[in-house]
Amino acid sequence: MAYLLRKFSDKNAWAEVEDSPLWEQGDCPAQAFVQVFDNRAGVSTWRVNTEEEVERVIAAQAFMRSTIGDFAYCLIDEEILRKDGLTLKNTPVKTPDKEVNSLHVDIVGLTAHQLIRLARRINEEFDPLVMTRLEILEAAAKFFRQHKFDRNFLFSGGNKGRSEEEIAISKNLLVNLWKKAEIDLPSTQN
Amino acid sequence: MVSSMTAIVAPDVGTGRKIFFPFLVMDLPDPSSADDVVIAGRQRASEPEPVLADTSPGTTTIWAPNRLQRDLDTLVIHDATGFLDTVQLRKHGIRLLAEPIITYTMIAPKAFKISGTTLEEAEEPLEEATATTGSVANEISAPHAEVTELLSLFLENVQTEEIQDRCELIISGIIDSYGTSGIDALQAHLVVQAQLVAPTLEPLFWKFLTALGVRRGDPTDRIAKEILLRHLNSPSAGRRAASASALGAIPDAAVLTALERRAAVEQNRMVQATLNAHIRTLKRHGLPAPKIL
Repeated sequence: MAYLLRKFSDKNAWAEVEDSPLWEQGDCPAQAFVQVFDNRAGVSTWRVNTEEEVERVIAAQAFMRSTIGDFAYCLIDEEILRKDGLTLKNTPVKTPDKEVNSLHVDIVGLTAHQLIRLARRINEEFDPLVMTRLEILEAAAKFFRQHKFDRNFLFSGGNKGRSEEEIAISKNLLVNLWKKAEIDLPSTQN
Repeated sequence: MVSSMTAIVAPDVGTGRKIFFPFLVMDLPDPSSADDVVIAGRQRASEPEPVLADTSPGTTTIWAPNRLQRDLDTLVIHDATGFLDTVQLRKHGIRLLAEPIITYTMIAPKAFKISGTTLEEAEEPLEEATATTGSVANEISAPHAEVTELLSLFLENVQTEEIQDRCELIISGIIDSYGTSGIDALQAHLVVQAQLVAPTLEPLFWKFLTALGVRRGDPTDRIAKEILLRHLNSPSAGRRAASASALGAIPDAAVLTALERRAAVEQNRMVQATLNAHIRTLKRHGLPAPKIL
């Protein structure tokens, strides 16, 4: 059974409104709504079937940010969404992991009611899960070692990649993690 | 009643800018005049207490807000006596100017000589007093000035993930640079500002808690841990979630116990998930053996 992995962009904000009375009124608190409707293209999700895919998707996404922290997410049963009549569209994206790029799926064409219903389902039906920062770094280090993650994606310029110079002046991300020995990367560039 | 209006100036060692502390000078009532005492009594009754003030010697007194100076939203005075000595103001009350939300406050300097009272202190030479005041102001103004800029960045921008990430980096930088003074400045400003613009500022408080999870060595780590453990039982679910995440970076038996205790009573699903994740991680990685004394 396939699940769609959906990230909570701000788990603290979601926690704050999890018990909001607005849910019972059929509404959705703003702090939750902006986390579901955060992209005009649709609701960004990742189709995952195995535990390793979950780890790879999360670690790959984590490295697209300038800081790495806990990653909160939920796994949405794809069948439920299809029964709700929602439209799914495969939309490959670029990440350090070429194999997971094609797992990206957008939920598109959502009406306002559908968005709120999806937010309510996320709040009430699908358990929130958290992968800790340490777990993400461990997973990323493993995938870099196994060459599942492309080191050059982070160090070379281009779409969402970072130049050596950007990395060097970055206060965080890979260089800092590297310096602090928080992540083990292959030491030579290809 | 109002006798003059001017500004106290102090150089800021952190930014190189001059900091202008606007104030309003007022004549104090003369206790020998019954009318003045009545007027003063009425005024004091309508004035709110300082937002955060400790008048014991050597402590920091924080007065807020100060919207007249965009780069100094919150005015911090380490020792009010120094400032008053510097400008040679005796027997005057100082009212800080603030708008649009005003927290009126009267500063009572240690060497406040009111006729009819016995409190008197030896006067420092003016030059010495100025030097002392300047160094104190410089010492404390740098982290506070940076926090003020952080607040401006946060409040004046749309709260995108990028802005929030940037704020987290700035907060971490302040704590990295100033240690416990940085934590004090962040806490003070966030507490004061949260009373004025809550809940707008709450996400920034979560970023502050997150930044406390980075290990920097004692005494910073000790203070950070205390703050995080306190907020682990906060009425705010967001703060509990942020604290749980930050505490997860501290491989400590006391922390693990605190997380497990919280998990046993936690009702919020997101906080529970965060607690479970960190309990799992801490248990898998093991905790350092306790020191044998």
